[in-house]
Amino acid sequence: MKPAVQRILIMSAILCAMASLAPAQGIQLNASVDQARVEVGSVIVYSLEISSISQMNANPTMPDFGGLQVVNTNGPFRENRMTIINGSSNVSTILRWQLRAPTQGTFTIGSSQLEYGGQTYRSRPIAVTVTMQAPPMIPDDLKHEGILPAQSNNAAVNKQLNGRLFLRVEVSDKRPYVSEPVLVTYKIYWDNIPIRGLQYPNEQLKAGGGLLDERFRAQGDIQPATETHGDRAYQVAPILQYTLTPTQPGDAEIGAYFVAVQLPVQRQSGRGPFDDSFFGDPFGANTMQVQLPAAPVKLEVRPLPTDGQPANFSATVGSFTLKASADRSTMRQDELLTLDVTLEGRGAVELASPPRFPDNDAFEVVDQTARMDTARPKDYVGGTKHFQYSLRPRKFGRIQVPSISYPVFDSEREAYRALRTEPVPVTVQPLPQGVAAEPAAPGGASVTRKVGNGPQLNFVQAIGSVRHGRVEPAMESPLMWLFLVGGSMLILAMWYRDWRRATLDPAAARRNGAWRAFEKRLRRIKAKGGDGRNAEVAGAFEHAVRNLIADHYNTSAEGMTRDEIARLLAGSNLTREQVARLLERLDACAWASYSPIDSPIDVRAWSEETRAVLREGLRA
Amino acid sequence: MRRLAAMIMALMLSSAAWAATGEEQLLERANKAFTAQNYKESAEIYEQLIEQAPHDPRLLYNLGTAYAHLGDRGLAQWRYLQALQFAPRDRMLRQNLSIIDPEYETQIALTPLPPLNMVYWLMSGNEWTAIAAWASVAGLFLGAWALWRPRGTRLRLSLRKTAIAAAVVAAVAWPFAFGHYHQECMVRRGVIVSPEGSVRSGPSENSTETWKLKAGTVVDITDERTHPDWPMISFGGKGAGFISRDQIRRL
Repeated sequence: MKPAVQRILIMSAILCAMASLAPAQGIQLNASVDQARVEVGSVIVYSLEISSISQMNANPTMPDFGGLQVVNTNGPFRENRMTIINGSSNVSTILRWQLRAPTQGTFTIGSSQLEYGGQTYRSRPIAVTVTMQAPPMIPDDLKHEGILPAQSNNAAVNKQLNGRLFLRVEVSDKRPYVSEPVLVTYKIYWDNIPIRGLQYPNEQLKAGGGLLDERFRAQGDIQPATETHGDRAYQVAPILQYTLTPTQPGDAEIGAYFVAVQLPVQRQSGRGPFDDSFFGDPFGANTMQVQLPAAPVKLEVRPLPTDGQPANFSATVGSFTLKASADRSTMRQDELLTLDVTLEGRGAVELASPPRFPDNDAFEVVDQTARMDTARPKDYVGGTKHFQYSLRPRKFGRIQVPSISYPVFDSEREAYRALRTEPVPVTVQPLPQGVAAEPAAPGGASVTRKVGNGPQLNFVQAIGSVRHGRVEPAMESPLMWLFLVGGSMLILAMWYRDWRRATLDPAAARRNGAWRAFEKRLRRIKAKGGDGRNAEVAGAFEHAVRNLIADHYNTSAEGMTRDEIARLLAGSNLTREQVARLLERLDACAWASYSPIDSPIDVRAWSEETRAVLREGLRA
Repeated sequence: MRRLAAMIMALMLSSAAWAATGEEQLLERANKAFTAQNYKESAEIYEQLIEQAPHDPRLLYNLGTAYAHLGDRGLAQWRYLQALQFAPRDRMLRQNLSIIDPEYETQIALTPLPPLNMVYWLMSGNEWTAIAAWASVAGLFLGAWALWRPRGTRLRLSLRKTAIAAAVVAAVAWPFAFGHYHQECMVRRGVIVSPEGSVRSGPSENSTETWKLKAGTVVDITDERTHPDWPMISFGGKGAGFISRDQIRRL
């Protein structure tokens, strides 16, 4: 290291040490804002700088922001700086808060206080003037909806975007009845502005008390269309849809919401940021975030009228039709009929409770299920719901599934209606002679009864005798664990015996490895080039077969004669013909390997056949 | 001596027969009361019977049904969930459970994967344990037999294949068996039986109420020794607290 650099480092270290040891001196507490005059909704940055000539460990109090809303609720952004000028150091800490101006007026940010070394330091109060926003240049036909203008940190951009980019809330009905679903759609409108990445806030849409909400359309599913309002042709894309179902009468509110979009901008000065040529940044490197707020929407939830409300009304509101169909028209007495009751139309069809199957002497309900059709309409809340009843006939002959009545409140007609299905005729054939019908009397097994207005619960089960005693967990059975431990011990003992047998008996070990060696030799023969007729291949094949037989019978392959091979193979599973054929092939291979001329035999073809014959013949 | 033995035997048989007759009469009375829609009396009689046969799923089911008709959802669900441990394939039981609590399957789910839960609830804990144990024992003994046979023989190969198949069955069944055992014997669970279970920050009525749980909610009992009248519970990782003993029943 150079001496000059060393000196600088040593000096810096000494200065730092002195700074940390020395008492705080020359403390200053300065407050400032980046803009003293802003529009409603704009963000102001309030900075509080504590500077001293040495490091100090003290925190100033948070000032009273006088009605301005703090955006960074997790605490201020903190920045530390240290400067050394002409040998004198200055340490400063800057705390920054982002504040939003909620309404028009003059707001005074109070002073902050810092106590250190027995002294109190105060920052000066700052006044911020908040003016009204430029009136949104929304088309006349949308003005009554209270659409808010787009907001960014740049006033010039806000001015350019006014009326050209906004978020609109569409509510299907602002005066719904209790239990009548409302479709809320958020749409982005833009006019000749290349919007990019859409960002949704982390927080969900806040539905007020008494509203059940369900997301209807997935975020990001943007399909723009063109809409003309006034003299402007807007690109319009629905970005979010919610279904809200009011659960209590009175006023309800759909909370404020916002999304953010990225707009590509150029870093050019002296021109309007959204002049058409402004969007010429081919790489899209520079973007600006713009927030599109939507104001809260108030709903007036009307109570369902009590006059004329049917006794068995189950709070299903909407405009529906009800149909019934059976899965067959003829059945046996011991079969079950499936009745499909379909409720279809606009309204809270998904929340609809199943219609009550009427008391009758023709059929009884054994089971019932409900399911929604997966296809849902896009433009309104509704759909199709199927209620399926498994019905058991109580008698035979030409009988009818009775008409099912289902009271609903029709919000379009503003009156209660009783939907009814048509009776479904069914022919029930009696059971053949000798077949007994299942008991259907009370106390019998597996019958269903309807009780009062409550759910259709299955009946109690018939019990012949009570099962006494406790059911102990089988996991704690000592017998089971005894068998498992015994089995494990046994398999370990057998494995050890098998291993000993294989390793301590050389003949067995050689026999066990014989096939592996044989297969390896055959693979080498196959890997050799040529057409399989040359002397080298024939010799290798003969060698492989001889070694296999020698290994299998634990004898020497060297000098093993034709008679010896025949004698050894006589004790195998090979037939005499197979042995004779094998010996002939070995002779032919031996001849071919010593012959000076090419042999006519195809050793490769032989090798596959011989392998199969020997595998079967030498099997124990 | 023989006479004495015969008398004792006769006495035992007659007392057993009397007990059986008494139970049958009680069962008949309970069913009659149920049929006459006198659910309260029916439930009381079933409660008496359950003291003698606490693990009979049919009795538990009938009692749950009586409570369901009485409108006592908490007690009904408690009895149904008890019955489900012993008779998980009982269709009527599952139908009734789904009527009183359409989300009961979520409450008793072992894993977040529905297909695994479906397989898990195909059988009771003891059934899964029996399958796992028999498959393991079969695999071990067949494997031992295969190792005992000389290498290369056909029997040895066949035995080895069968033993591997048994081991695969055991490997599938053991996790479900241990899952049931853990849920039913190792984790202490309870069901909220009062219409609105009031969970408090401390073990007394004066403590702040932090949660309200609806009847039928299944919770974990984390400590019931420190304050026997105010067991400490936790539910679904959402919260924890103390609840009065009369508002909860052990599953």
